[in-house]
Amino acid sequence: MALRIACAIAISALSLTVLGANSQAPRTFPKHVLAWADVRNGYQHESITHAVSTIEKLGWESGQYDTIIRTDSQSITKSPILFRQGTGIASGEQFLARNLDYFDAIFFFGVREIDLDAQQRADLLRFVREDGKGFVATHAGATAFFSWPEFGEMLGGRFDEHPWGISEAKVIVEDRTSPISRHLPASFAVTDEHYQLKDFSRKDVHVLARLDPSSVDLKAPLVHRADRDFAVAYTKSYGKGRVFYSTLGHPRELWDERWLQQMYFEALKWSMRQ
Amino acid sequence: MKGSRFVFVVALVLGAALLPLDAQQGPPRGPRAPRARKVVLAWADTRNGIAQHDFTSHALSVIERLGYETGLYDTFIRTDSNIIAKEPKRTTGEPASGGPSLAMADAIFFLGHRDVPIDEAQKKELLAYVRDEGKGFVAAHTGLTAFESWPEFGELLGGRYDGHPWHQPGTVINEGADFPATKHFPSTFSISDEFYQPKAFSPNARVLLRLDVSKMPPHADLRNKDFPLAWAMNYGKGRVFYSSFAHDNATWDNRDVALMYLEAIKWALRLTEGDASPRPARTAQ
Repeated sequence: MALRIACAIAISALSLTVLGANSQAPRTFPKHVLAWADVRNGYQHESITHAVSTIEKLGWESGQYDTIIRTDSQSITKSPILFRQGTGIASGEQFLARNLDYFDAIFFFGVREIDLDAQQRADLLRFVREDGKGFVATHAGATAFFSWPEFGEMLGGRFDEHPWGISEAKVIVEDRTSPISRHLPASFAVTDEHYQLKDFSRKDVHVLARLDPSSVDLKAPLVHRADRDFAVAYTKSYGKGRVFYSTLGHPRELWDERWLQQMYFEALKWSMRQ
Repeated sequence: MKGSRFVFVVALVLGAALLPLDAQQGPPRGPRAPRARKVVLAWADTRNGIAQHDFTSHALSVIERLGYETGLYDTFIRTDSNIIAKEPKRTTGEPASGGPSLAMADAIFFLGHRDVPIDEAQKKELLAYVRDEGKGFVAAHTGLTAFESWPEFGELLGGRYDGHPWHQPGTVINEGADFPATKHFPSTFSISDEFYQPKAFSPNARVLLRLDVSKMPPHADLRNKDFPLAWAMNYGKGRVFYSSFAHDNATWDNRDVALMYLEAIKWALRLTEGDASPRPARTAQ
């Protein structure tokens, strides 16, 4: 906050000349991220729009990637996306709508049972496993596709309740060398809707951060993990592709925290091999 | 780096120039209070158009940040159309589990493209939402191309898409010097864009900005010397605003363009007043 005001004051003189121009050249970006948040079949968390908007902003301001935000799933295909004849384009012209082949990574904030057909599901797995693209998922992304085992294998974990509601807990950073987590302190407190994961194994994933089990109520009724291993952020590979997931991101304002932004930004860059 | 620094500067200046200091502190932490802010559905169903105009997501993100940083409204971005209903449905047809809908939103920011797939019941609800319930409808650029096969949508929006003769710099005449969304523009100014040509222009709409076609190179597709680029209109009890700006993604960082949409949304939300009654064209000076 103070920094932001200081910056604004410091650059205000410069900005006046910058803003004199009424036109800027269109910008292009070396990488392309699909921010995919199909929420039609689940609850749209308040934070989802702010999260995808923040992901867009991080790519735009850094110049590293541009973002296409979609809450439908039309883009989840490797086939050409064609329009029915007479769908409002008088010329019948087919524009090039972008499918998965255009993108370098997906930022995923979908919820519950997303409506994808079998071919779309196969294409999504191929996008990561064979094409070697990135898949970065956040928070409620772990609630998606419970009826689809391969998705759980790709993601490396499944939502198993949030036994403590929205509460403060201590996060222990296990890997302070990864570009995704090296900016974080060894441990820190964060208020979030902390998730418990199931179908999760340290044999398959590299945990970057976990909850300090002494900072949460282990007697809460929905606590299921006897091993007290509550992962908060991890990386894994899936075929040729790179996958990152973090439970953090329920409170909308958390997306304004520089450390959280940097974690997801660096995760996207890592997943795109930047 | 130059590009990102520039955008950073623009973002900061937007923040610093537009916002009262207390609005910059963001919402308080802790349990959520009852919603005090207005709600805007940023609705950009492009599934039957060019699925991804390069500017669309950046525009949605800018609209979200303008509301978030000013504290004036909360935004729900949707590129599907299930939320265009008082009681939205899932893809399975079952009732959706809460979340955004026409029942809780105060205005729509619309960036759909071509024939947006909504059913007849949704069309009725959308018209009633603006006309009978007095909610706001702010549309940009490709919104003018939407619903070609639905005449009432043209009446709601105040015009229809008739091509874009030019994508180049042009001179714009400001006829809305007293209107909140356009009062910050000079009386004439230059901007480069893909200028959408309206047809079936509503006699009920007040032109706020128009292209000075006398300064443009001749073009065979030009139909009318009166070439509105932004207008405001009352549609029943509701408030409607449209502008052709902006096709180019970076133009959404233009302070004047972003401010135009912020003020248009505020007007559509009835947070400000502005006269939308139609009037004769102002001659360029």
